[in-house]
Amino acid sequence: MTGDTTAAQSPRPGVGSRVRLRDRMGQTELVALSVLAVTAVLTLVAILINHNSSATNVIWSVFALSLVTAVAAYGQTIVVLTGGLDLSIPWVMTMGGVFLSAWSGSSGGQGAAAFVAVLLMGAIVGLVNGLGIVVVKVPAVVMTLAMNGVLEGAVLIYTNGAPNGSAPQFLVRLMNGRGAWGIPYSVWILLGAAVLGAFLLRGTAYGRRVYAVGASRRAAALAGLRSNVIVASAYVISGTTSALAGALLTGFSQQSYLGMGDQYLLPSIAAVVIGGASVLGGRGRYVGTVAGVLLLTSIGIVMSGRSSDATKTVTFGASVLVTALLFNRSRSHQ
Amino acid sequence: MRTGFPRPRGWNDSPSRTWIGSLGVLVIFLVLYFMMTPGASSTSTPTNIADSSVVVALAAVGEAVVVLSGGFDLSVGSVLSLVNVILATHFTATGQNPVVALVLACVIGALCGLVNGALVVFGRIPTVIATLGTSFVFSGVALYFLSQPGGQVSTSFATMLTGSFGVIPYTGVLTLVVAVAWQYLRSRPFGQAIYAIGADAKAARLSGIRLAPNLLRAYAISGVCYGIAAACLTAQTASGDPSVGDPLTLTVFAAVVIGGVRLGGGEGSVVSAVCGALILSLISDLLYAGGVSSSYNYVVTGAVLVLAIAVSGSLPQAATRRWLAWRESVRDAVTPVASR
Repeated sequence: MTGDTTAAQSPRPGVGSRVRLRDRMGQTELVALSVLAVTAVLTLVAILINHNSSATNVIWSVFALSLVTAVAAYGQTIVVLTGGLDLSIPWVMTMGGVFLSAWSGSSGGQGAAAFVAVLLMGAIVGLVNGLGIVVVKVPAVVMTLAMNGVLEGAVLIYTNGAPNGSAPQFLVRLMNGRGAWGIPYSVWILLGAAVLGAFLLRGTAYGRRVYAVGASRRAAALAGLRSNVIVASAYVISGTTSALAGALLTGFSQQSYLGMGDQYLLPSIAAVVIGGASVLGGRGRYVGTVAGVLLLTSIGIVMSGRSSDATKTVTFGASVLVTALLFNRSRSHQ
Repeated sequence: MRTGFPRPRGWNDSPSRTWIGSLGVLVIFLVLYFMMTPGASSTSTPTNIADSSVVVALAAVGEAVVVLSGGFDLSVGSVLSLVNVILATHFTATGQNPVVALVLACVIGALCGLVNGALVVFGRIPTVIATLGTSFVFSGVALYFLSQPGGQVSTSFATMLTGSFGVIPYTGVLTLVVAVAWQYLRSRPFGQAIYAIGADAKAARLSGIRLAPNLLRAYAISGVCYGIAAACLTAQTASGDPSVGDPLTLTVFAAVVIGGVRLGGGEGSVVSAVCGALILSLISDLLYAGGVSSSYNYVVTGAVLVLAIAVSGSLPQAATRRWLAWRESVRDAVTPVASR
């Protein structure tokens, strides 16, 4: 690419030092570390501002909710790594939550079966997304936007506007219980999920293939990878994790409601972008995404009670734009 | 990957074909509408059709301009919401001039469009991420103005955009004016530049087209279209709602795609996006006339969108390509190597 040489020779200040930093450490790791540092500072600030124990409890439960975002953002990370975007997360989550509570029965007795069935549904929705994108060649943004609309209608029709049933007991306990040192189970699970998710992407052949396809679909195809299968599989994973996130959210709030996934679309994308992934695909880490989720969560904690939904929405949107401006500039016009 | 000399699409391909195609589908739906809706042959029918489609039609014109230039604008719904709540909180008194409100709507829309354009052109952020980010910023700002549905607009403003000259609805005239204005711009160097950039930005730049001013103007024009659309929406609902535009993003995209505008840019016509909006609105009217719940609208819109892409674009192309490859392989098999 000719852009490299011109960039190196350009007299713009700061370019050289940035390249050297990137060489030494890897940009994504740098981003993830700095994001984590900011998160730690923000959380400390939040704890110092409200230093009574009930406030600390509130903070823990907010961090518990970040597991939901982190799970939804895992699928989004893989999709973004392949160079796509999944906008169907909100209503796949709602679908997952609504069907989970409907099938669990009034006492949540058939919870385990309903849980598995809901994950399967998410996978099937993801498969339809993937097939639409690689076979019909619908742009990913449009395909998943359409899927979101279709699911919204389908869930409205199924529930007649009023979801019923209750969350399975094991999910309620999982999302609301406390483990060692009074730290919620979900925070421990979040740690485990971060390690497992990162391993799946960096330590397995499948993860390597995702990166290869995202970096250059053509090069990956020439190297013998079935890039269509890998791209479609990314959406299957995203559908499954979105349904899982919806199920976890149902467990947390002990019920499902229409539009429960709506406020998770932007955080799922923002976390990926803040975590240093390239929205053009091929570059990014799940650890960075988790750092992004934690940062968004701590921003939410600091802002809670002091500002309106309006400020929160603007801040989240602006954080996407600022990080995109910092790390996601493409060399030429897209 | 295209190899060899980049073909400027949309210049060689006659755009009239997609235009006629969507017009044909529109005529079919109009006939269906007149057959299936009781009392459809009354004088208020043109006004009903125009009023129920004008918001999506105007917004689809704006979206089509961005899509033609090779981008995606996911912020359309939030711009509609933002303009809606500003009008509903600031033009409540009867004494205010409704034309000022309309101009203000255009200015706010244009500013939103310019923000998108600046992020794409100067920030060099992929259009999807830029407009997704701004969509949340705009809906957040809308929440500052109005945190829940409410507000109102003056009756003079509402009547200005919902009346009719006899059988000819104001909104129909408005849509026509916007469409004609774009057809004029399309024939100018600016319009040609947008098609060229959408077809192949690099080739356009190498042939001397300046990307920044043209793209900025395209985004500003799309914003003005959203502004007018939002003014019509506000006149119809006569109130404000900070999330009124949320479900419209999908509908607008569907209208653009049904109108045959190629996602990715360079091909298609803005007029056919208006046809797409009319078709979608007729479909939902037909569903309503058939006694189908309005919840099915989402399902039908999404399904029609994917179907339109499948029919218009890649599936037939892929089938043709496969057939050509098969024919080639058969010919290779039957032709002796020496005679090739």
